[in-house]
Amino acid sequence: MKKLIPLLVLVGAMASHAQDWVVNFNNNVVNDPNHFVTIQGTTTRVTGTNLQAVLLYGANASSLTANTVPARFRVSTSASAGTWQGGDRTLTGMGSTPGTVIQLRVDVFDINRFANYAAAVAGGGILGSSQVFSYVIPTPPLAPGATDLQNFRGFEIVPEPSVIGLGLVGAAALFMLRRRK
Amino acid sequence: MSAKKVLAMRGESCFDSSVIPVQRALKKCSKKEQKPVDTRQTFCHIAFTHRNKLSHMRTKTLLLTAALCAAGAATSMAQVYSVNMVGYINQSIPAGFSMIANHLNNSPDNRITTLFPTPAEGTRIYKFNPATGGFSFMQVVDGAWEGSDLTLTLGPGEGTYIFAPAAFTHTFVGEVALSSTVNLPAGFSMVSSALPQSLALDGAPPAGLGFPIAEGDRVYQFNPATGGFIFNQFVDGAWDDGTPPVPGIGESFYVFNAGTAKPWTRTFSVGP
Repeated sequence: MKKLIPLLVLVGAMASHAQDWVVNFNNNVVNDPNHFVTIQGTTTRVTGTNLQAVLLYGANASSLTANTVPARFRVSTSASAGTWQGGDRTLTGMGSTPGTVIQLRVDVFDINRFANYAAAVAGGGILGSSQVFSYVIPTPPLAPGATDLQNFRGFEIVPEPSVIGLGLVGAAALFMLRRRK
Repeated sequence: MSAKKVLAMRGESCFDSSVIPVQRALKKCSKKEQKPVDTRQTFCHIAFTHRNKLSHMRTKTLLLTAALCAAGAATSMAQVYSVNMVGYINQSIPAGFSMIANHLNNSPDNRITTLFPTPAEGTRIYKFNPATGGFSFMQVVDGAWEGSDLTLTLGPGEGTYIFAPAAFTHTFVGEVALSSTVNLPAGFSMVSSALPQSLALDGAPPAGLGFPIAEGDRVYQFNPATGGFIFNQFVDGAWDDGTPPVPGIGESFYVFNAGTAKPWTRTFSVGP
């Protein structure tokens, strides 16, 4: 048994150093034309660097883990409105075995209101989420775009009323109340 | 994907037909000018003559003069022979995906952002990372490069996928890496010839690229027209296709190294 302990430790260490798969977290590279994030009920594509997209992943759709590195949406003058400025995202714990199916989702929150994704979740500040979609770790040699999230589909977010908008609503409510009196 | 190289076109013979002749011409010219003072015989002859017939002072002066001439000649000789090769490669990059290579060491560096300072909107780079088995990604949005690592490089011996929204011709400029080592880790890697040559992959230079092929190694060349790979493998001491792969100028490819990590070393000498 004593001889087995170092072996088990070694195996454990090797397992902990197994490479985890890295995906390309950018929705503008998705071939399907429906890959934009829009404002609910409109065709307006979302812009604003305060809005952040976060990638969630896991083996089961019911238990997804967030890669907490957010990706900001683009400036209002961007030619690529409705997309975020993402990058490489490591799916920690998912390994890199070809054929492994990973479930993914994208959440959007406002970083001006919440310091980070966890705070946004705790405060009910998620403005919108994509459908859960799958990604299969490809078999090498990798074809071009093999790390793209091709099964992602665009979704809508519920815009937050701006501070001024809220103020106007409040003023209107006060005005109505005074008129009733 | 086609490529046109201006200074060093294809194979060793291409170097001979472009850069080397200039150096040979310079070598011949300089030898003619140097002969009276540069050869040991001439120098000894001068010294011997003056030791017998003239004073020691004059002999010393002549010896000094001869030594200075020899030093000058040596200096001028050093200036004549070029120790490097520079040039440019005009490479046609098709619309869509292709696997490209840069065979010239660019100045100040070989970063993608330096090599492609004004890329077309929508250009994408997928550089294979053997450590993760995936890609490192960069793209051009709103006229600027973006990605998790903007220091990605494409130097001699490296390779990458590029996605071009439209076909274009890119000019790689720089110096030929006369001495190079491409590391081939176990498993997959995306590599290219460090020298701008299109030759049989595993033949010994100058007839081939000198790739250290071993049993079980595989090569995957991307075909932009079909989006698939041209596959070849080295089994039982021979290539399955009957002939070795011949990567083009400006082309990178996947290699599967069936053994342990090994280097792909090339040395190309110029000058005398």
